[in-house]
Amino acid sequence: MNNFEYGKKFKKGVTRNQLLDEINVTRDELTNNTVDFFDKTLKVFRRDDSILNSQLYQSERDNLISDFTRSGFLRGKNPIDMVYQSLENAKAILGFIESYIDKRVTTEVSQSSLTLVDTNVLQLLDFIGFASRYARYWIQVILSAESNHLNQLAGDIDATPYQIQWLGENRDAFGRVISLLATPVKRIESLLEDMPEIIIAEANPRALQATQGDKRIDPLKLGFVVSKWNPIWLYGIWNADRQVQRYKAAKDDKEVLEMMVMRLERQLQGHDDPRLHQIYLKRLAQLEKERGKLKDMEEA
Amino acid sequence: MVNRFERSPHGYAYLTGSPFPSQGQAIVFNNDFTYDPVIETLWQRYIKLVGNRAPIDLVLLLVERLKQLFGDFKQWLWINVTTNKAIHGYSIDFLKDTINYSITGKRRYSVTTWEQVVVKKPGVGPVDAQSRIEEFNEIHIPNTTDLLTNWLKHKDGVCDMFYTAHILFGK
Repeated sequence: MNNFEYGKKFKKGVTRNQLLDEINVTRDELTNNTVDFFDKTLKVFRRDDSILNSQLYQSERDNLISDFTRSGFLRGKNPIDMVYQSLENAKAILGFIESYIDKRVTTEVSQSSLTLVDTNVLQLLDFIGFASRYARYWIQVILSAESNHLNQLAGDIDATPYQIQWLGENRDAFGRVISLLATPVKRIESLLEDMPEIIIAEANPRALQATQGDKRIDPLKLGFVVSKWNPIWLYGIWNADRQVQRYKAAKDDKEVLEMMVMRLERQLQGHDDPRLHQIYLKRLAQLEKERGKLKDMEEA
Repeated sequence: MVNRFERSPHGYAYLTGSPFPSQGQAIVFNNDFTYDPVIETLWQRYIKLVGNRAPIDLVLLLVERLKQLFGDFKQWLWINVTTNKAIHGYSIDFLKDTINYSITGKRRYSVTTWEQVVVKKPGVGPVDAQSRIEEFNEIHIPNTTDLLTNWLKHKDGVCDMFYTAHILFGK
């Protein structure tokens, strides 16, 4: 989102502790659930995605690669591995965000004191949380399509209509965010250091754009990411319940995804395990409730 | 006298107190599924902890009990893989992933996922000992002391050990 718009929508003040808590929850979710799963469980697919033959994966594969390479920091021909590389790098970005907040925010950030650099940092944090979740939802659909493809059930996937809609609406943002989060942290630091010290509430965006140019005002091109989700800062979705729910849903995501990979591996070896399918469908139904609760909290 | 191996609810064999059968002695399993009460008590204490950070004496009790239940880990694994008909499929895979965790600190699948897929009160199936042994060909099997000490060196090693003990021998 455009940094000025972002700053203006920033209604409620955010305390230092709230920010640090949010960073911790994001880190736990990213590291223990998403990256860990991509690292270990998906290793086989990261090495070679030619075993994935569902139409769903094949039809999107090239577009994903072209979106992910946009920033120039990701190379490769395997979208699953590219997502992993980007999220692995996001761990370092998160470290930078934490030290920035630690130095910059002594008590609270509010609309009147928000600087252009602050909005960049807050947006980055928001993007990391988004990418971490999107990556899991996305891989769930890919794995499910693959299992069903192997069982010749074309077109059938184990996902809710809401999930499919959410994935579709945010697909463009995902491509941009994965590409962006692959930016080396040193580069982000130096780009942000070069930004002018401007307080959003006091700024005239047009005059600034004319005098400073887009490159200095939005060096990371965050303005191109159109988010269809609700950034937490803007809507004050703060409470501890939401953070607990977010972590719980992420942990359950990981378990269901692991079972899907287990099953897929058996299928690829030529013997399906219907018992496992039943277990994960049951867990998936519970998971939908978890995700539903989280969605309600975030849209309240 | 014949030493009978107990079978845990997930089918894993273990001895409680009696000496390991010597070469040539028959290996006999109890047909009931019986959990180990010591592991179960330690597990209950562990899950009631706030924040899952176990005090050292609790960890030492667990290590002590696992040492008794495994005896010689290599022999324990051998018996389970080659003669225990109640473990197959994911129950064997879980053992491989556990050894791998002790060595590398990484699991292919989370221990909580294993808990859900390892079959409870399993039926007995045929054991093709040779192909099962081959599954372990690429894995270095540690002795009991190395297994347990390396396990605890990893960041979440304590939690993993409690969870694993619960799956192997608990309720």
